Amino acid sequence: MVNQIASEQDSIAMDTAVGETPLPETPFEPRIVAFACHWCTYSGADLAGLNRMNYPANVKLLRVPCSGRVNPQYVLTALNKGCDGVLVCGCHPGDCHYATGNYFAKRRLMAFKRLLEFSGLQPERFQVRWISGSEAGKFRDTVIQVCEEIRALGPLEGDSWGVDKGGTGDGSCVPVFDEAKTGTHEPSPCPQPSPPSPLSTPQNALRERARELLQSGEVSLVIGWGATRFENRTTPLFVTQAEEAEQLLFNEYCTNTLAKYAVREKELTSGRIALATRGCESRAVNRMLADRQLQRSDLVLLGLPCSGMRDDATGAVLTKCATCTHRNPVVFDEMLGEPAPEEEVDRFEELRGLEALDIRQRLAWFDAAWMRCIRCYACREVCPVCTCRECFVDQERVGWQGKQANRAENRFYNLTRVFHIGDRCIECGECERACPMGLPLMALNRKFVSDLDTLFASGEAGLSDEADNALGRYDLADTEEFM
Amino acid sequence: MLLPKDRLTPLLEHLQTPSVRLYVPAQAGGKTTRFALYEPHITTAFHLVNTALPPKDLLFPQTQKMYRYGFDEAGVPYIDPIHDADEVIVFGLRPCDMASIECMDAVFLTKGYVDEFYAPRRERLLAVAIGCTAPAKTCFCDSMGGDANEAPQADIQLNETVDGAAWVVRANTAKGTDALASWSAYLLEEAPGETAPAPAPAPAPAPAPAPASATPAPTPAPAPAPASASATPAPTPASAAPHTPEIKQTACTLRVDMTGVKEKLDALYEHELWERIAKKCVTCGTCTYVCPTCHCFDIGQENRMREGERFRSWDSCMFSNYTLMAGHHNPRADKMPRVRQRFLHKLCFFEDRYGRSLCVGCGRCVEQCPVALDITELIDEIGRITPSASPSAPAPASTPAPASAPAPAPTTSAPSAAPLTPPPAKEA
Repeated sequence: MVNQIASEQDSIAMDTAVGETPLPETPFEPRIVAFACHWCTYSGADLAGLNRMNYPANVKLLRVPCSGRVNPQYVLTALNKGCDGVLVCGCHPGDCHYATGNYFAKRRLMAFKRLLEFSGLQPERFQVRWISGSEAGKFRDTVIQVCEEIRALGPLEGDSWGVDKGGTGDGSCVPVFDEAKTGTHEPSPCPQPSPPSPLSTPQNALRERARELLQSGEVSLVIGWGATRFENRTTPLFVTQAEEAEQLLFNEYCTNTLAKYAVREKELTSGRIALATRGCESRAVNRMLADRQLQRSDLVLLGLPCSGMRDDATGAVLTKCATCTHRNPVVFDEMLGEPAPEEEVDRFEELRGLEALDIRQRLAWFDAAWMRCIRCYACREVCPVCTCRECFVDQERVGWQGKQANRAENRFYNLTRVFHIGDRCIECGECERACPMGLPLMALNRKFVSDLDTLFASGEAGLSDEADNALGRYDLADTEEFM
Repeated sequence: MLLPKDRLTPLLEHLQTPSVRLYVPAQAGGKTTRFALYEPHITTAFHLVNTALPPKDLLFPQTQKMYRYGFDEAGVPYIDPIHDADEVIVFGLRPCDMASIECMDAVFLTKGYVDEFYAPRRERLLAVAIGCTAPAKTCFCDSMGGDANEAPQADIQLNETVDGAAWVVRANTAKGTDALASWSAYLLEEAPGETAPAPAPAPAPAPAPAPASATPAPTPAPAPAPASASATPAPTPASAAPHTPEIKQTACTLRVDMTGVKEKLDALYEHELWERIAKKCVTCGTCTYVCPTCHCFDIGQENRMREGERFRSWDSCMFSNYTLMAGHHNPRADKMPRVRQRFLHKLCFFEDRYGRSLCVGCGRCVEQCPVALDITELIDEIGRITPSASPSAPAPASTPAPASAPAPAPTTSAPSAAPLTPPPAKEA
């Protein structure tokens, strides 16, 4: 998890650092912010000054106590506030004043840099270096090199990363990049949804067990699905009376992943909670147990096999279900029904299609998506691993997230969201399903998950209740991609 | 007058001029549809019942810059208001969209307060509505006082003919009548042979201008027409009472009974139903942002050194920081009061102030809520609640008692009248 502690001073300091540099005259002079560790690079820069070394004045140093302090939101904020590039400098591995800060920083920033590049930022614009207090020459050389690279790229605003480009304000933003061209996002249309066919064995078993558990007082609440006025749509249902258990449904239109409800309900109920648990719920439960949101003893997990849920409008299998790797719960107290056959799926297919695109195309594709975002935060609210008591979005005094709905702010929100959940994402796809605007949120999540797996062999999240998320630990043998 | 469907595109191209911004329902990427600026390459979506996003952002943008401020070169402070209203035509509003604009007008233009950012946009808006032909399963406008066929507030109204080949065009306002003048090159006078007069628009357009419900347009329209368009394809300007072809009539399949709902809600503030329906709400802002009438906003500013901008942007009562006060007190910190606030505002509070419901029955929130929390089910449920022992309608009228303590009114039988007693729910 990311250290979200921040102060108003951070924001003000960044304002000042960005604003001090005069607007570039011709020829273009880039504005670069360097976050420099107090214990090494900052001294190195001092030494460079003492030695009368010449280096470009484009770089503004912001002193941080450790490279591990550099929240990726700093980087995004700097870019949104008008920087053309960001440099992060810390101590060489093994030299950290706090012993391990730079190891954590390395993991985070490596993954974050890949995410930025994926979403369309040229890699030269965000760089990380290890520079010790005695390496004045390296500091100078780094600054010169980074400056030249970014100068060659030109101003960032030309790439639409700047402040207040585009925006949903007047309804005029029609995306130019056709989503269909990437091919994999729309589920194959199925003209008429078939009426729901109750998966009768599990549904009956669910009702029966719910009734028994409520009658015996073993649980005081059962969370499952119930009917709506529309045949092909279900809704989360909270059953507290044994006689209401008949209202529980289980059919192929049970699209909601329920696990997150248990967190609030636990606060309100005295007894245990029985949760209808498919593969996605079970992994969410595991992850929430690891995050100390729930205790296993709070829950009775009624395992249900799932063979994929369907869209109520088209009848097509939901995208999130078509790429599901665990149709049966990975943890449960009792299994209601025969396990569904697990299928080999390639969950990174869409991702590879996007990775194969040119960086400019990806930028256009994501930009079009950011302009559609209305910032309703449905993705955050349904996410089982979005568990912060106070979201960075709501930290208004810090001012991470501006209220304006424009491309820059929307991008800031979406990239930060991915970074916050990425190493714990169970890939349930609820964010993308819930998004009223159909943003490709899982493409970002999967990019992060896939990178963490490549870099740190993190595997799939939520298969056990151990807190083994890749960004919460480090390994001395970690690769160094770009330092 | 008739607008044949194959003349729609030429008409849109005609209406799109450098001085006018023309918005039409269009695909906007992904599954998003919205009113978008008309351009030749966009994919229009006139077939849609409703666009996923409502047209409200044309009048009330999600982010609206209000003024710039700062210090100029000489160090003198300045404030520059930003007014950016262009002439706008919205083509293809649905009757519910029009009703929502009426709600927004009430908020931003009445009760002694005229919003200086909304008013100019509203003034320069020409609304062209198209009557519905096939309501979606989530549509319930006719239960909320609307009519899927009629948009009396629209400047110009189009209704599809029974054969589906054309729209019957008529102006509802003087502004619409003026605007129709420039359309004449694309319109056909009705075929004089047709004999299907008047059944269609007879009862509905109450506030429409006087010139007869059946043929409102022809009076001023043909006059400027020959002048402006010499190539008028219209056959003979036979101004001798052309007959209106029959138009398709439709009605919503989803119906709710609003009778007495407001009166009941007056007494339901403490009812256990709110906690029950709030349980599944995830407090995202989807319902409020896709709602055509939700109009809450927040005011913020962006400062950069010696200058800054003040803007207002949509806010949602579903968010916890919507009610966050200085000193960090939050009167609606939990989701139950937030959900209750939203529905009470829609169905009760707005009616108190403006005399109509704030829900126009477009069904967007029903369609798009990620957890299928459905306002129509809530209305049904309120309908089932019996405020007193007698289940009939007139009961609530006798107990208006708006601000009094909720429960004690019904002293009749039905021990403890379960529905009205506040439960001992523990509220975190």
